[in-house]
Amino acid sequence: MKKFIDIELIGRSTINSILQMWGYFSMLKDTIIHIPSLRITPVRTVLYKQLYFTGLQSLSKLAIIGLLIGVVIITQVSNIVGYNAVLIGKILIWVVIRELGPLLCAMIIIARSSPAIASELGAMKINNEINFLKTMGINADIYLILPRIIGISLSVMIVTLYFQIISMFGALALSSFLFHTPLFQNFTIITTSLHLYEIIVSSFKSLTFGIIISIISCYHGMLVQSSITEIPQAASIAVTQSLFYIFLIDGIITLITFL
Amino acid sequence: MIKLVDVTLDCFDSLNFEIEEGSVCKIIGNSNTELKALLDTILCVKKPNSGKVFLFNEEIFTITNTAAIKLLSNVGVVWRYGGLISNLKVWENITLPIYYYGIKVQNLEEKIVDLCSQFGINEDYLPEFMSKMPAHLTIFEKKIAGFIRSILMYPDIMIYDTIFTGIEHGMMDNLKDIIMKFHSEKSGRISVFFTDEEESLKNIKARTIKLNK
Repeated sequence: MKKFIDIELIGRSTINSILQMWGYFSMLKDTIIHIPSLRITPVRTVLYKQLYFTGLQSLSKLAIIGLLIGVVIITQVSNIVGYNAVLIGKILIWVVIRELGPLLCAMIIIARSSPAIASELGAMKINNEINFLKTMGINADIYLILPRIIGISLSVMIVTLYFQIISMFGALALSSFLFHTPLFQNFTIITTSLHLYEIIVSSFKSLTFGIIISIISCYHGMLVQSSITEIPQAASIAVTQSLFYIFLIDGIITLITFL
Repeated sequence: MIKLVDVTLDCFDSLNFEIEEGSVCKIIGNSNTELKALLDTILCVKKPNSGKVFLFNEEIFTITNTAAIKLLSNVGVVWRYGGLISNLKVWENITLPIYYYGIKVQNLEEKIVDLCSQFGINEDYLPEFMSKMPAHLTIFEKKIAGFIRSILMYPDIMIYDTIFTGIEHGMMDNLKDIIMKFHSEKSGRISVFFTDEEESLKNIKARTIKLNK
């Protein structure tokens, strides 16, 4: 008889998901334990490289996207309700600070860095380089994983802040030019509508997204065993899992903090 | 000291041998797979099916991973293809372990230049060599970089994985002299040559361990 519900399959995937979650948490635990190792020069070098590749190199594109999003929000709101500086300011804060900023930046970092990290670590595993490090007396968790997790987490947080500033103030500057409204007045409206709580929650969100992206990417990269075909699989899983978890966590944080 | 007691691997039934301090030893295997399995066991990468492995009198599979890694920092390995890290330039590869352990090497740059010249790398080519990525090196250059990296760590145990394979005859004697000179620089240093081509080690006078299934 044909099985409509495959209990065995459900059970197996549940166990796999639990094991995967366990793996993510133990990687996070190891990273926290190893944080003092950032004083080691080569570990710091890897951290700086990661900050450069993930943070600095994505800034120009994020700035353009941020500016365009700000312009789109202002244009759409003005089209619906006419130009209303207070309303536009509040909507910018709701969308750019609370939601879209952290989420969009995380998505851009996922697209840029997640497959890169998973495939780089996967290739290193296939080439036996993790064992080369071990035989040199170098802990791969400290040298490879720690700086990547810290680097990406900080990068996501910093680029989100940068994105939000560009998006809000850039868009306001542009709108004051297009709609001939006083620029200083728009800035004042924004700064009075913006609360510290929103900035803290937004920073917390982006930091959490960074941790999630980096742990998932490193974890799946390190799962690669011996076949070259595992590398694109690891990269693909890293991207899809990262996307899934950032949307999940975004929903949870928003529910807890803004409901 | 390296000691194996009743070690069983997928390709070996019961391995027993001890390499004493200060000695030079050749380990001859039938294939690269066998040698890799044994190397992985000695270097704490893969646990044997049964038996005990001792490194510096410590049973390496009973101590913590961190303790084993620390122990391995005193073992230099020159791998068949250099064992370099692919995303680091030659200079970064060479200096990685010393910077990682914060070891102060006096006149580091001069020492590296001197070692490179001993291996036949002239000063004109040196800057280019140091800035190359491992993928752009010849096998010999990879071995040189791996060897210099190990020399700078000044380890108590040196392991050479098929060091002479794929090297020109003219360079072989030079390499052998450098290895033996380095061996004698520290009393008690162990040098172990792994190979599946016995012929390549014929000029090295040392105890021979032949691996039989």
